Parts: sequence; structure tokens; C-alpha cells
Amino acid sequence: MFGESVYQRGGMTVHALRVAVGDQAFFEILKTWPAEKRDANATTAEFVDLAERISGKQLDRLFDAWLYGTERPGQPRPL
Amino acid sequence: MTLTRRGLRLCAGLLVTGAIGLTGCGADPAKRAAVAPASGSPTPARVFKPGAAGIGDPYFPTYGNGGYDVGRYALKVRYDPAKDRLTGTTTVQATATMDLSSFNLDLAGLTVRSVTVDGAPAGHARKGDELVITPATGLTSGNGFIAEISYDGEPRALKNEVLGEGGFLHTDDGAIALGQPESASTWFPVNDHPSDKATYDVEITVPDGLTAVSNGVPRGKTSTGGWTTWKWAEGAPMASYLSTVVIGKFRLKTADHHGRPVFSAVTTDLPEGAADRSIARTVEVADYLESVFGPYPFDAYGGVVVSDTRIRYALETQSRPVYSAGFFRRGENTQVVAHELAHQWFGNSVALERWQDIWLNEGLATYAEWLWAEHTGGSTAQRAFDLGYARSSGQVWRTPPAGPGSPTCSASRSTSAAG
Ligand SMILES: [Zn+2]
Repeated sequence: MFGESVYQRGGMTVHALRVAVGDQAFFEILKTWPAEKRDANATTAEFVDLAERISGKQLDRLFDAWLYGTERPGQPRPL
Repeated sequence: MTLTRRGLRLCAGLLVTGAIGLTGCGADPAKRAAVAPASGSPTPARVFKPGAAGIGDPYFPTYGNGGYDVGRYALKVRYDPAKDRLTGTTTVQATATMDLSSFNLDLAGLTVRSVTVDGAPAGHARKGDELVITPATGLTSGNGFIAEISYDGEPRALKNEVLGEGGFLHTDDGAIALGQPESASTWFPVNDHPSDKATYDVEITVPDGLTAVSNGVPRGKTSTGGWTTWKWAEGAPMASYLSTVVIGKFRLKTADHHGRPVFSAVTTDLPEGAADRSIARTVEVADYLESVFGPYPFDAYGGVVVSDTRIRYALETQSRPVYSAGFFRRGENTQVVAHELAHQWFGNSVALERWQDIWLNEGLATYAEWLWAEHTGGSTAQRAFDLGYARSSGQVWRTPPAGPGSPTCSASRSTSAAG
């Protein structure tokens, strides 16, 4: 349901995270999120917290641009 | 979920736009209210109050209800397609989260015949799509209670501007109960919001010769007097919009995979072919996703393919997604299977607290499609990103996926049409 942005830009946001944190941290995030939140409910803020915890990187600017910005974010780069 | 045709995505009319604190930081008013009366102060007098008519989701203020937490639903539903008549009894096992004088369930249409709470007759009234239940005595915060609701009638679908008709749809020879963000309340009384997950036991009685498929583990079927009862159990907590029942004539395929049952159903309206082949790859796709996301989170696998002009999407109904036949018109399609199965991790096992976070479901499911394509020798995830980055419409960049009002194209709809 909902608009195209949550699909297309949502997918791109996930990829931007991958580029920023590198493959090792990225795939650890993808496995840890469903393990820690299994059978539970979760929010965007909790996902961002988890990504920062696992990667050890500050990701608020990345997520701000990709999730809340109203123009195309810059090309993602490794942080 | 996935829509069959790009560009079909319309805007939700129910969206509340503007300054309602959508950035995910606000405390939940329903929960605040729930906590306050329960605090163990020594005051002896308890004040029992009505539970809220909404669970506190700013996007959908009337969805769900406050004051209790459901643990389990047990549904016994009989449906006669010839008469389009449903008769049901729903048992709701819940815990009060505040001292309740009354509480609401969501129920759209249908006629309530009787309600008991903990075995005693309870008052009941309808206010639109709300069922207000007043137990004989107040329900104390922290205590469990069991409500049993008997009801019947001709189910009606809900008009959802995003998806068209959702909820319980009468088909030529059966029915399809499906829809996001709401559908459950068209066939059983429910706390209809993903933040109140529960386990489900579902028994559906239909005329002999028809299949009635639902979520989770098949618990067999029994026949008597021309009617067959199909039993299903979803033992993992499930958001209500992920519940489904599909009734009709289907080609069934059952198997065992890693000790879990596989149960798939393809409508006999379709000749055997691409849909069957695609759905048959469900466990292969699930095993790949498991290698990336960790253990498959549920007790069963499967898929249901329906052919109905009103269902133009696929939805990740728990453990057993429902797919429009349209996805398989041009041949085998495992992309949509990968998308819906990825939701078993992202969206179902890890469910939304608030609809505004829908990008968490759809962004990760879209990314899973990209990973699956790369895994199967197609375009890489990097390439998919590059294409999206270069070619996405201005609308996509103007619409923040998690920002205020974003989960629909509400910005373009309610403020500036061209945006
Ligand atoms: Zn989806």
C-alpha cells in the first residue's frame, strides 16, 4: 500500500546504508534486526539505533536525508 | 505488499496530514493512559473507564482500540457462498492494561447476536465500525479476560482508496478476506492494528468441495452433513491485517520443508502453469532469504494465488502470502515471491508499531527483491540502486518515505496536486 517512495526510495535507503557502513556491518544489521525484534513491534528510530550500534557510525545525517528529506540525497559514500 | 501494475498506487484518504508529530518521537497517548491508573498506589478506590476507540496511531486515528492487549483469537466461522452469509463466533483472550468499564473491538458490518465476558452476558452496542462491549463488572488492569462474540450477516468489503476494495469479498464460488491496512474487521471482531499482535486459531466451515485456507499450520479438516471444517493455527503473534481466509476451488500442494508444513493453493480458474511453478519455488526463495536474514520466523510455508479483478496486488499474509494471478501472466515470477517472503521477517515477525514506519516493511522487502535478482543471476543490487537513483520521479524525491504524511502521496493530494 501507500506511495511509490516507501518502496523505491525505501529500498534505496537500505542500499545507502549498505554503502555507508560496508557489507560486513550491513549484513549483520539485516540479521540482527529480525533476531532482536522477533515477534515484536518496532520503529524507525529503533532501526537507526541498531544500525549505529552495529556499525559504530553516526548515521543520523544519512537517514535524515534518505527518510525525511524532500530532495534527492547525495550519492551515498562509505563513512 | 506489491501491486501488480506500477502507477496504480493512489493516495489513502484516511491519512492525517500535518502537524501531528509523525516523526516517531511522541509517546503513545493510549499507553500513557494505560499506565497511569495501573500504578500501584495505595489508594483503594479504582476508577474504571472506557477504553479508547483508537489505539493512538496518528495516521489512522480510529484503527485499533485502547485499554487492553489481545493474546489470542479463536475464530469459528461458517460461510455459505450461495447465500453470501457468514456466521461466526470469535473468542478474544486479552489482558486489560487499564481499569476498564467498557472496551471496543473493530467490526465492520455484520450483526452481533450475543457477547459474554468471562462467561457472563455483557452489554454491546455498535458505533459505526466500532463494537462497544460493557462487561457486567469492570475489568481490572493487569487481569486477563475472555470475550466471546457471536455474530452473523452478509459481510461487506471496506472501500480502501489505496487498494480498492479490501476485506471480505464474495467471489463466484467462495470468498477472499484480504487487505492492508485493514480487512480483518469485516469478518471478525478484532483490535485492528498491527501494534496488538496475537496468535490465531481459525476454523472455517464451508460447503463440501471447497477449500478454506488461512494462515499458519494446517490442522486438518472434518466433514459432516455436507459441510467441511478447515482448521488452521498461527502460533506466532500476528498483526491483524496479515490474517486471511480464502475460500474457493484450488489446486493444493502440500509438502514438508525443514519439518514445517508447506501448504499452497492456486485457483482452478487458472490452468496449471507459471503461477504453480512460481509458488512451488517458495521454499527455495525462503531458504535463500534465511541465509541473509537469519532463521525463517514461522511454523509453516505456502502461498495462495487468486484470480479476481478486485485483487490487483500480493499481500504478505503471515506464513502464506496471497498473490494476484496477474503476477504470473507473463510467466514465472519469483521476484514477487521474494518480496512477500521477505515481509515474513520484515513486517510480519518484526511488525510496525505505527503505520508511518511502513518504509521499514517495504524498503527492506524491495531490497530483498534486489538481492534475490542478484542471487539468481539478474541485475545487481548496486545496479538497481543506480537505476532508481538516476531515474526516480521527482515525486519520489519530494516524498520522504518516513516523513510526515509520506506513506501515501498525501502531500500531492491534499496540498498541491502537482507537488
Ligand atoms: Zn510489500
